[in-house]
Amino acid sequence: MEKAILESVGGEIVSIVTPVSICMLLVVLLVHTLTPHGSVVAPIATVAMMVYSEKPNDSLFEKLRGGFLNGIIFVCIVMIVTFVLFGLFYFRFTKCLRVYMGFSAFMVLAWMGGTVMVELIQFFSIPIDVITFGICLVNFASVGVIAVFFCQMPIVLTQGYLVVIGMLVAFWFTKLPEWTTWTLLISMAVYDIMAVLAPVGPLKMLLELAMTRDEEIPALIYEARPVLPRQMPGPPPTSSSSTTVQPRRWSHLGAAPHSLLNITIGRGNSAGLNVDSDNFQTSNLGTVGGHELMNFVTEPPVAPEAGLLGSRLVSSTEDAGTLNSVSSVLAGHQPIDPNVDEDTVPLVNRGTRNMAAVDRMELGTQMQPRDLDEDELERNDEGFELGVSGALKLGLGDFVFYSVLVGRAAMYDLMTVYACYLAIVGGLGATLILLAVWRRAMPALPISISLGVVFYFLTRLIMDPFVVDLATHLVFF
Amino acid sequence: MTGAGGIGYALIALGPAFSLFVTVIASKPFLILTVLGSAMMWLVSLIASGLLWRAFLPGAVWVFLPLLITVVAIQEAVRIYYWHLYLKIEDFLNKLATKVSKQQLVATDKIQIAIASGLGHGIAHSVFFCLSLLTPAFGPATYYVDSCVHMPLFLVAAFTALGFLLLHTFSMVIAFNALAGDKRSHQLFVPVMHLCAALLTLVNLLPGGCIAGVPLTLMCAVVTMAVAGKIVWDKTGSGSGDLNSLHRVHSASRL
Repeated sequence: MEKAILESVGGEIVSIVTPVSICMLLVVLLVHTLTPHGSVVAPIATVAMMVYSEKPNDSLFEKLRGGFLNGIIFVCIVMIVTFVLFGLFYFRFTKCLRVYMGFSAFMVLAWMGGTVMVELIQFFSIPIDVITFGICLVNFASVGVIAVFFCQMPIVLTQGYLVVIGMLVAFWFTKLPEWTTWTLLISMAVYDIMAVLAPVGPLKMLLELAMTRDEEIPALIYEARPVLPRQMPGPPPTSSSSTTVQPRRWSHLGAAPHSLLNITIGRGNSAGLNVDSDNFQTSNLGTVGGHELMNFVTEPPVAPEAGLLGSRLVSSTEDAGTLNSVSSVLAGHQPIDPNVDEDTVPLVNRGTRNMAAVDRMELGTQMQPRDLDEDELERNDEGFELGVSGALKLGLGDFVFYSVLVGRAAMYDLMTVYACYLAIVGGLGATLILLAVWRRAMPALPISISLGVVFYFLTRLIMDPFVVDLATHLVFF
Repeated sequence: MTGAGGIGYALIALGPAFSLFVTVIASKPFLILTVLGSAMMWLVSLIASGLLWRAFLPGAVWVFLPLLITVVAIQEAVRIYYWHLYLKIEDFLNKLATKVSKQQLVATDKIQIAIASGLGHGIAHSVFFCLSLLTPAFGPATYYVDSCVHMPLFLVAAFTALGFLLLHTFSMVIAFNALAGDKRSHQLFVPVMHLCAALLTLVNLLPGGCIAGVPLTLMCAVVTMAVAGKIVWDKTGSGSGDLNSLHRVHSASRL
């Protein structure tokens, strides 16, 4: 029996919105619990406050100016670090990168996680002794590092640890003073646009390099697995080789050099959970290291790197997935022949090592020539190859900055939290739609952050008094 | 009034929404996105109303009357705009369904989308008018408003939010049906009912008025629910002809 369209549309978006929501919820809970209203949290001296350390007595102009300077410096440092990482990646210092990133993740989970846990233990008066706590913490951090970087673990565990890392870094960022936080967010959003879309942007160059080499981008990236369980009827006989060939990490249609954004992040799907284990080990690199942020020397803050490298949203989905179908319908094409359904399309691009169309023909399904035509029609010169089943990916830095915004909103009141949450999710949805329409790597920060900031200030200044006044008079609408 | 009280108030305001969400909406990702989208539209209309009236509040009591009328007018205008947006999305979904060779939208689908949209409005109302006020309710004390010494503020807010949640949810169902079928009476019913419910909360301004105000709001919600129920029953009940046209059919006998 045919399934309804309503049951499958939108699955990928929800699978990205859910972990973002969970991360934001955890940060709001932490902030709400550990930051009692009215208390003055001593700001931590960090790289982000090298230039200006905010004191409550400064005038508004001074705070704005200081915050602005802090933001600029922060963005500059982040940009330099991204270039350094790009250089390391370019010269193939993979071992160095891997060790560094594993160490950073361990420090985030152990140090920041430990600090947060200690605060929680103090708050709830949990009876636990130091030795147990130490053992648990070290185990927790080690499993986290292994789950995220080195081993193939159940996907829920990896995703869970990524969300926890994002939450810890975001919670740490909320300890910055208020004006610095806002200017930082806005500067990062502006930088993100530049880094991803401008030709000399470091993230764009990194993406291009990773694509030409067909390696994982060295960053912490949250990947939402495909939603629908793929029941492949089995590959057609002529393409039986496809299951043994290593699927490409990135697939192109067309020549590599100028088709920077002809990318698909996708792997063959029914074997997808295991197939990328090799590639995972060799080149899955990520970085987050909160400890640098606590140094008083000008060592670069590592945590935002994850945000930068990951602050672009790249995706590809299967033919039945929302984004591909969205983009093709928006482009107004004729419906594809009904023979092409989701069971055969992924085979088009599975297992191809080189990019020639001939290889695709070798895969043997007779849908291919037509698919190629359709795909070529659907492509502009920067087209996405959207025929491969894959998953939406969102960089961990996006998690961090969304949660920072919501955490800072939580320090005022819960009403701002709800408003900012809706704004961020709306911005994320808009970004995903743009992703489907423009079919290129999109920066995930700008729309959400700008909407979030606008909604925060509107809510705080206008809506809060309005609603509270109505409610205390018991007048509703 | 401690954690139990706070959770209790939250459940009063949002319990039915939660159960509606879990049973109808959670299994379909598109409906989850619809809820979020319509919640955001309601929030935008609320901010617009706030921008308009912020200068007058806190002010004299008579301000509330024109305030309510304009705010309800804004929300109904947003509802009409949302309907036009929905038509485009429905068209898009049908094209998508053809493309991936699935069935087009049937009546139950459309009703579910309407419920999801209404629920988005209702949840946004409950969250902003009740949940965001509940933070003090988790503490050790409670708060009574001058004009209502019978019930704490939180209880009144919770019940009223419940009423409005149901009202918003089901008036969206009525509105979708009326605008699709172009039925004048139902098209007028929705804004009139909304305005009535809003104006009836003005009763709460009178001393001791909340004794009457809260049940009146809940009654408006029940009336809306009844009308919506009748519409849905007519559409899918046994009296409406060929059942096959409304349910999922086998691909061989696709309509």
